[in-house]
Amino acid sequence: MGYVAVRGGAAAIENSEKFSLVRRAGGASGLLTPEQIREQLYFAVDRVMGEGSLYAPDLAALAFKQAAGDSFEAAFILRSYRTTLPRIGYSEPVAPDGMRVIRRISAAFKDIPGGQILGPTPDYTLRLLDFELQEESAARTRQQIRQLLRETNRLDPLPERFPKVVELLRREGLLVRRHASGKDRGLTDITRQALSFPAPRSAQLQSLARGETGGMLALAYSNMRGYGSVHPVIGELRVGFLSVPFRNPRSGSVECIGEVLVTEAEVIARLAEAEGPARFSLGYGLCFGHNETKAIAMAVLDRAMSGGEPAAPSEDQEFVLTHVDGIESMGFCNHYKLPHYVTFQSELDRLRRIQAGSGLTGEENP
Amino acid sequence: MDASGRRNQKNYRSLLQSLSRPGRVVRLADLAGVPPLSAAMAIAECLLDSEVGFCVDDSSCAHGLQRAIAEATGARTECLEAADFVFFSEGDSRGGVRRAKRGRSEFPEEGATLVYCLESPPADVSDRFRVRLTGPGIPGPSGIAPEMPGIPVQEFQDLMIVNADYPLGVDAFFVRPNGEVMGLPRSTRIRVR
Amino acid sequence: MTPGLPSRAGTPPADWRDTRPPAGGRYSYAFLDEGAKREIRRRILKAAAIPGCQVPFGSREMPIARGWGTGGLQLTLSLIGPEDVLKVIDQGADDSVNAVNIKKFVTRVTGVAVTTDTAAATMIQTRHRIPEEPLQPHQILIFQVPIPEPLRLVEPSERETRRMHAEADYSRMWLYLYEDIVKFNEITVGARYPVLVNCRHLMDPSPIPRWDLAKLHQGEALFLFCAGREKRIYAVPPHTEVQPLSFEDFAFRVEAFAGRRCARCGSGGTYLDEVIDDATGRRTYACSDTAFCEKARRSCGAAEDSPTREGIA
Repeated sequence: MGYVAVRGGAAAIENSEKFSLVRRAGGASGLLTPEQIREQLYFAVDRVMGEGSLYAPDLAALAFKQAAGDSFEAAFILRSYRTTLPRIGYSEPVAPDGMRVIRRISAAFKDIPGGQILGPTPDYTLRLLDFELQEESAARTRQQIRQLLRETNRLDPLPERFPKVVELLRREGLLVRRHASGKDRGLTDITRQALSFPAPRSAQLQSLARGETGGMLALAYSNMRGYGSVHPVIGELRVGFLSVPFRNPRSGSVECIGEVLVTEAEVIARLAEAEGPARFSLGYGLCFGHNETKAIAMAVLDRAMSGGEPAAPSEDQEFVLTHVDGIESMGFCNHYKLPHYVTFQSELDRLRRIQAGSGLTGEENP
Repeated sequence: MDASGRRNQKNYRSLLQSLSRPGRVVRLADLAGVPPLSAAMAIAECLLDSEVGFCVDDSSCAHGLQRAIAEATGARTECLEAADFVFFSEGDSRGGVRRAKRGRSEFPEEGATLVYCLESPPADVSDRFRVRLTGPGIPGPSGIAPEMPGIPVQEFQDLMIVNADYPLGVDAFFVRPNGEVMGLPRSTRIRVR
Repeated sequence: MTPGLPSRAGTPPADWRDTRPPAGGRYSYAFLDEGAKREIRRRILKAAAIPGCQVPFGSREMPIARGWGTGGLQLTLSLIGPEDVLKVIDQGADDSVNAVNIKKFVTRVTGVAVTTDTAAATMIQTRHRIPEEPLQPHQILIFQVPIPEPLRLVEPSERETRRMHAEADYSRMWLYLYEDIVKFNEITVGARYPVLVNCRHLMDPSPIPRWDLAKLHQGEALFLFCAGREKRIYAVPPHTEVQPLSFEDFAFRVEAFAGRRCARCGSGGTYLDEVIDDATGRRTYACSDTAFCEKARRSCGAAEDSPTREGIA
């Protein structure tokens, strides 16, 4: 009998792991350290943290190394590790206006209280391939950075707090009131219970916060282009560090247990359909790390799904939330590589019977 | 695996067995705590934690069981109508079964799980032959009589009424201090002569 | 010679690389923490109490990918104990790459014994087949399920299918089957054929062939189904009515093998894999259930290639 695809399973798996090792580490270049990845490929690390749904830059860097740069795989590894960690509790709510900002812009107004802070962004760079990076001299680069840091000492420090642009709009009665709908009385924890639709807003935001950037971008883009009616304007985009407050279970006092880097987008969208005077509506996006594309997409989708009857896929909450998880979508997409020959045999049987044009109607059990 | 994890795993297999084969008596492998509550505690430790609500019905030893379960499992105390798990301290719920939640049509699984804590076998054990159980898990069209004696016939009649609107309903375990368990899911059709 | 895992009791397969849990951490027994196990156990009880009804649960991520058996795995890990003997099959084969990988993981986190012998197993995790050997009352069969919703064929929205189950409104599925018959004079659904359980719930039996559906009906063992990605658990207890949808004048049919027999063991009553011979392009047929096939061959002392062997009981 010839080769049967599924035999010799254990040996095949072992060999595939050996192959991968050779691919990753068999070349002449020096092995990457997780530290190098964490510091120099920081957007990748931030994306992996956001999609893995675990704020742990060192572990995200390690996962990225292990996955040889496949961000779906890396997020999966991190998410799987997350499962093994004990659940201690929930943090206290954090007011994002206390963020230690490194970047803060608004497209809605030319100038805003506190100022437009461009920060570290590639937005206005020219995307010309920089060949000088091929032979980057560590000494020269460090010298450049030392010089830069000397110069910054001479500038004015940033204010500690930046008022929220949307709060200004709210005060003028231009934005919908902050409200919690009946279903949102408590927080849903999507890691503890399966989503059911219609899902409360806390479940919606959690799902988006850990969603896969590319998938969310495609859906939000469809809305921006016309399969939907959000018509977004960025009220405010912030990148910065948020303190995580946690209530000490013994003393009862609230303590800050650390800081997380997040990206927050508040998108002003089309007029709300509520009763009373016309107001702008708001879409909200928040994710771990520095990932502006995802935060903006999230805010647009958040708003898109909050309307009434969906007229496009991006407005359909069940459609969006079911399909944005990268671990689920990547897993299922790739599962088609698993053997399906038994089910295929069943389909072959059906097709052959149809082609034979059989007219039998009796039962044919074995 | 630590001792309590081991105990919960073994006891769970007994509970699953008893609910899959209704009307039969199965033994819990490993009792927890001090009699006479040890069998009920074993079930509580196995199934309850801070994610669920429970209620112990009003009766003489109820207070002890209530506190013991809350401390051991961290489960929330709820009123009977809202509880996911209801513990009756005898085989007779005195109508309490009718107040337990039965689930919603789109979420029938929200119906409560009842745990009846029976005491030592009663003198008269012939009552159970008035009851006939059929349905999933029970072989044969004529079914069986419940193997566990000492449950008032009225309780079976009440369960029959509560579970009449299948798949809405409640699922019950009857347990003795020696660890004997009998399961009665809502899918079991009860007939009383 | 069939390579595959040895059937020694009590010995997990050896890894070529020493793999330890991350520094500073030890995995719980069976990987899942007690809270996760308890939640899954509660859900399984509800599933067993309402045969065929999909029960949502807080599905955890596993070290294998979604779509590759995380649901079946969560059930196995929540139920398993040191006395269990585990069999894992994929398309009926014990040594399929996916089955091997799952076995490797489970034994690593439990140390439990594994077997290829259906009769020796206490728990069997399966993808897309039910073993040919009849199961016993003490056994549990755990199905890996990609899509738990039988109505997904006719309705993409979960919200809508939930309503249909609540109201036992399965008219659109009946209509789908009817239209098939009108168009093709056949029901074209191959595997994942919808069944009615306990005369009430329409259920997706997972992508097992129609051949295997009869084994679900009034069985001796407990059948548990779990979709990890879709986050649903459902169950068929023993001695439960399980009927494939069919019309009075158009009966349900299983796959036909036109009287063919397994080329390896000669059995005439098993589900067969069609294999295209590399060299000759000729088609041969062999039992999909490799362990059953192996047992049948050994019990008759059959040689490797004897295509003319008569059938065995």
